[in-house]
Amino acid sequence: MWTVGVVSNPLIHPRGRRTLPDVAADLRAGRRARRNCAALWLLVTWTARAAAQATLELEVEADEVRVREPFLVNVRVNNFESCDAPDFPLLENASVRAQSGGVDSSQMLSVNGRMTVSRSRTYVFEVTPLAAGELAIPPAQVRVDGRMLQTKPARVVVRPSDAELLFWVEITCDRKRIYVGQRVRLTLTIWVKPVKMQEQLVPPDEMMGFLRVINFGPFSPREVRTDVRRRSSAGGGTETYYAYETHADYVPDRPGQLKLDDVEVAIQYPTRLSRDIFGTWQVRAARNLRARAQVESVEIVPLPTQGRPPHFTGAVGTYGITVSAEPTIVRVGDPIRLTIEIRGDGPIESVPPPDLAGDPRLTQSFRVPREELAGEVSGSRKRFTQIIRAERPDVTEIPALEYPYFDPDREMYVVALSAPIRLTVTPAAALDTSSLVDTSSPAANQNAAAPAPLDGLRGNKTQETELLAVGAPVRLDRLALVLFVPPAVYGLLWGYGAYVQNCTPAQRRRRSALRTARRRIDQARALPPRDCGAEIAAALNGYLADRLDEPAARFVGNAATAFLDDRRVPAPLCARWVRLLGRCEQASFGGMTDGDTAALADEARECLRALERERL
Amino acid sequence: MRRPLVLVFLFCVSPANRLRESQAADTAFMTPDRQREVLRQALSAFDDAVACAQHDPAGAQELYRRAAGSFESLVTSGMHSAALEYNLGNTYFRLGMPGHAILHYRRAERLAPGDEVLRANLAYARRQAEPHFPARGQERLWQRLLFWHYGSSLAQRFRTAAVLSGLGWMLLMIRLRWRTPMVLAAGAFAIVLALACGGSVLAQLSDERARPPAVVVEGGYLLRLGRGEGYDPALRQSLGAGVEVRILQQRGDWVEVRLPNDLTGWLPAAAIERL
Repeated sequence: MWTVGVVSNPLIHPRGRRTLPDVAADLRAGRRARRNCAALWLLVTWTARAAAQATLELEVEADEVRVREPFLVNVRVNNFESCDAPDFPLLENASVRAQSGGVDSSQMLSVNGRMTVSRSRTYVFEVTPLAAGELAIPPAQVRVDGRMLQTKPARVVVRPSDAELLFWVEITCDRKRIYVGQRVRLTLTIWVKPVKMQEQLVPPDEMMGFLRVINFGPFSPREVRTDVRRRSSAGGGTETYYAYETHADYVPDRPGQLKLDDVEVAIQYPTRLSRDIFGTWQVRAARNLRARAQVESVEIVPLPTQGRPPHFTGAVGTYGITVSAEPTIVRVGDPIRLTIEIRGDGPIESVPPPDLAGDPRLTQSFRVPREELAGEVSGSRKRFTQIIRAERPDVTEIPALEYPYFDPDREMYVVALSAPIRLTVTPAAALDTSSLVDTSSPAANQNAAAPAPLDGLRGNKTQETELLAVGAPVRLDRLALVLFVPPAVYGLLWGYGAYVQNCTPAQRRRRSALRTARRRIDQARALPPRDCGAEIAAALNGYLADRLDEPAARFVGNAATAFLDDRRVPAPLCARWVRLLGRCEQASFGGMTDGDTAALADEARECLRALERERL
Repeated sequence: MRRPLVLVFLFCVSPANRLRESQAADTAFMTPDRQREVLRQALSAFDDAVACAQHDPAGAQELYRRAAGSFESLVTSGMHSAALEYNLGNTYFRLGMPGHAILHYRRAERLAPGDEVLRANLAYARRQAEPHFPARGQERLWQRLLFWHYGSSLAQRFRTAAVLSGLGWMLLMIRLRWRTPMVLAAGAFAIVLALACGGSVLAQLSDERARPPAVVVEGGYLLRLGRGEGYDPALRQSLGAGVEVRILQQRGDWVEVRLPNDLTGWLPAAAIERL
């Protein structure tokens, strides 16, 4: 951080008319000025020397604090070149935590053009007093520019805490005794005594804005319900409190007492508030309070071993099982997709699959993979899918599947059963060997008598021409060849045709018609007016002759007009052509001025441009 | 006019000649007679294996192996037919190698997607692969909408594009001489169809180049979150032989693959084989 300051010179003053008293006054003023100058020089020199010397300061945020309410202590090093981190002294009945590793700031001071730069570094410590009384902070030592400096000692008065009356956190459970794996509902309540400002309570929503979650454990800070309740106070009466409640489902994984004391909430509890221009409360002074959750005593007990079913997989709650199979008409060895749906009020996300591979009633008739199944959760249901295969054709049903679970309400093991599923299993199909039997070979008779293989494959292909085909693989370069060569050939042909067409003398003459006519018109401008008109008329007729590859004499006079009519040139353009030729004739016989010559040439050029657009 | 046309003809014909020569060089490992002989041996070994499968399973396995070796040698010699790949699929299936079976069925399907017998065997083999990933509704919808893309082979579409492209541009060349609207319309229509077929071929080739299809041929490997045994499984169930995947990238001995249900993970490169 940089700060810049400028001090102006006070010794400059205007001079007036010079009389004797003025001279005396000047002498006095000169002496005063010299004295002032000397004082200022001393001040600047002292400031510069002071600025150049390193100093160490200790600042305490408050003179009076409460037990377990942290306050800040700053250790500031000024005007240093190098410094180590301070060794903050150990305090009795207080804990200290360094908050920052040193924040640097710089200050630049300019006095009459002389620049002085000073820098400082601040280390911040959070001190939390643990007992009431007087807290003495001994000098802190810091090595600065190779010298060991120390701060002055400080004292802080610590008063007993009343935070328990202002703010606390509770966790309650709807049961006093729960089982490992049982899903229970926990309630977290944050109690806050509302702040009264200007004879009115700060509303609950605004008080909630001062709360800060340190650790919410299994609870969600987004689903907090606000309530206003009255509770008995230490003085015997009742007081109003704001209760902020949220819930969470919890599944204990080990026996013992319910422990959630790492849930911690903080509040910046305001002691002085004011309203800003928008009418909302702004904290002017506050106390930093923290509270760990007080957990209600809840005993977590292990599942009983007595009466535990052999295929129990750890499900706790109340469950039901539904099984479906597809297809139900199969051959031996065909896969049967078994869909097992478990539904219940327990922790459905972590509910284990049934032990199919360990169920002898299933495995004696079906081949069951041993892989652990991954389920798919949908609401309060979890679906598992497994492929099983009938091993014999005499299997008639998929037996009822068992799903043992522990019911914590009845405190006993229960086995849920699915309904058995009727199944039709036929022997495995014979291989369709008709397509592969070569009747001319001796193996054909053996195949005909061979027992059917146990799968449903169709037979081999035997056509030699089909089997010994050589297909070229399709590649990108071949595709490009196929798609781009024909248009390239087309382009070549089109270009060649265009070239051939433009190569005849008639085409060359046609292409240069306009250029030739314009050149002749431009040359006509330099001729005498009498010759100019004749030359422009000749240029116009020459244009028509070139365009149509005809002799120029053919378009003299009205012949050109008739020809333009035949070519469906618009009537106004024909009339313009006639008028233009008339003016040329008039000029060649009657003469005209230089201005008229230029206008006639321009008109001829315009007329040619219009005629060019008609593409004769 | 005659000289440029001759040049154009030579330009078009020379790549086709080179193509034919390269194919002839590829198949030169085995004479046609030898190919027929090997084919007969393979078919005979397969038939013998089917015949003795129940009373001599070990002997049948040996015969299936012999048949597979003969079919493979034909493929190595340059034979590239759907029927041969189909027979290889059947042989590997009987050898109890569903991964290789599905791999060859898929190769056959690529050459002859409309073959009903092949589709039946592929569907049967796919039912043996675990975990099973059924085709999703969206995929089925695309297959119905783009039936000409999914129902014809790459070679068929390529040939159609070539013929239509040649025909269309030839009609446009004719139109340079005889300017009739019918010729223009027919030529433009043929070119549009050729571009559609060519686009379909290009889309499939690009897709296969970007995410090459592959089949798990060695079952029992877990799909992992990273390339190494030290990473957690992306799927708790191990992948059985025959699961079809798409390769996203290969790093060393591991490949990142995507399963049909869009789950991605890493497998050892030795566990899969590209189509």
